[in-house]
Amino acid sequence: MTALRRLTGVGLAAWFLLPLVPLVLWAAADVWRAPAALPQQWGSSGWSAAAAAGGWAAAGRSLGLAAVVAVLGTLLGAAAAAALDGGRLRAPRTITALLLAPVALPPLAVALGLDVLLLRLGVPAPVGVVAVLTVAALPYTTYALRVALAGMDRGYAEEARLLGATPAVVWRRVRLPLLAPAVATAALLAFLVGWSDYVVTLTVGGGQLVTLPLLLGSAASGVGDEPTVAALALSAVLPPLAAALLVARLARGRTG
Amino acid sequence: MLDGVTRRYAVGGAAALDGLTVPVPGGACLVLLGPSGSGKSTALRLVAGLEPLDAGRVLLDGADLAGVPPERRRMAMLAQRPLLFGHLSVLDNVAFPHTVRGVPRRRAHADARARLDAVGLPGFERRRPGELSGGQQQRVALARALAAGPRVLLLDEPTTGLDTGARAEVHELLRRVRADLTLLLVTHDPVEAATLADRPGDRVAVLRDGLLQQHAPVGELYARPASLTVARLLGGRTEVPGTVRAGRHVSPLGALQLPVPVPAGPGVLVVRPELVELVPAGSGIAGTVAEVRVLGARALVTVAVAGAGGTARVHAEAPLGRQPAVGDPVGLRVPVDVRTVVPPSEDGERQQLP
Repeated sequence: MTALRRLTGVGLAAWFLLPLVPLVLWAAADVWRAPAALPQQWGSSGWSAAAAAGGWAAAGRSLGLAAVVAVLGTLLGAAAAAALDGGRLRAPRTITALLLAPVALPPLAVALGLDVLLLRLGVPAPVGVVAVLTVAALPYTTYALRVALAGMDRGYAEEARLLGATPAVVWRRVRLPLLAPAVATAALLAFLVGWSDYVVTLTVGGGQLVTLPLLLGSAASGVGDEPTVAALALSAVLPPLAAALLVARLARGRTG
Repeated sequence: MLDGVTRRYAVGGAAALDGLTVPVPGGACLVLLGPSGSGKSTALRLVAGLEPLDAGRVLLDGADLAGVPPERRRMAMLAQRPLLFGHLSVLDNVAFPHTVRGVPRRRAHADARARLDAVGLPGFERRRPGELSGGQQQRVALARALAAGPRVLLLDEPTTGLDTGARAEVHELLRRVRADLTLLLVTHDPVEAATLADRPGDRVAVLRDGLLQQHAPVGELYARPASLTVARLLGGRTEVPGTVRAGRHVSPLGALQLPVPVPAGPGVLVVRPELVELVPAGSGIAGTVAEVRVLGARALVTVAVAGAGGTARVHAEAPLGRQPAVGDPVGLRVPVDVRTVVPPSEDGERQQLP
């Protein structure tokens, strides 16, 4: 049993980490020609090229976009989850289905359709991108918070009431702290939606909002400057990984 | 004081609690005793203001509590689970009732420390609730409930989740901290009811299917159960159906004189096993031992008595080692003052209160 589990663990790790190996090698290579197993010449030319191509500014825009989507997506998701949990909605199933719909729809079709609509309405491109991505993040945030709310023992809130806390104080002092890990998870998911989006930023944004994925896309479609592409790709992979580890730590710290 | 308190969960459906009227004198302990589904926990939630009443009133010192939110009722609850806030330290949990009312942190912590000492947990201030045993958590929960300075302490099966040792500790603590608090205890355990409702003014209200069965001091419930339900809930075993005629209960046991007048008609004789004496064959009511079960330090002896109209089974207790063997002929003595006759239907007659 343990042997099987260990094997699965190693397999999963390989599945996730192996694709990163060539990226790491390319990002640290100046020259690496075809038959060689390792780069002929190590260096950081990829990173300087990425910086020169506007990597820092793109990373900043990505971070800003992801942060805004995380905040808006979590707030709206919390509102939706609270409304669904309250049991006072008329058609909770229909509303749940609508909220989860963005996961089911092909993003490119939605983005192209919305692009036309938003252009006609005269909505500024960055606002449109934020709006569409927030809706795309809602299924994840609503789901994460809905599960947490449903799993929350109402005994805690009732006990707090009897100990003298008004409903508002119960929310601030009892419910939110109990929900903190779920809120962090929801925010992380929404952050990832904003951080890793390519299609919506490209179509709805109309090239005005150059984020890291857009820069990476254009670099990758150009002629083989692999070190630059690898450097940009790693920059796109590492922040979410760090954020995920942070959230996992936070969630673990809470259970003690 | 509960006055005609009623709660229905479905419109037009059976009431979870139907017109419960029962006084709770200040400083006394009222136990709501009943099997699960009897409406006893519902009664507690209605008193706490956690659920709306469908009819009736909850009065505290003569004032109707309708519309008063839970946080202003000056009641605190010790539930079956400790419900300690996992994101707060033990000390901050106990200080919670103070801090939500705006008491300065230093004073709140000083009081919380004193309360932790009082429940025998000094030095646990910095711990997280998750690091404590079940019994310790329940003691912290009690300290927190008392820190709220309640006039009424609501106890909802406060020791059901604990092992025997921790249960005894919590009982002992509750008896010690009680002072002049009014207690409202919900339990299915008659032993717990007897342990906590042992002062002169204390009463037990037995509930079944949302209806009050009997309201009396715990000793009277044992001695004079009003119905089969009450007798069974309190661990009564002997039930001999028969007929009451001219102050005597007629059954296979014979025509037994009753201590109090009982209306003529069918009736079930109930007698507690510990009050039935086993005597040598030849005296008392003649019977044969049908079954012997050892219950810890005592043995439960079931005696079959053949008489007019069939066979009756009577349960008696004997000290372990002194019990007869199955098949032995024995005599039974049932003192007149322990004979109680209840109506044959399970509900009995609904107890009428002044």
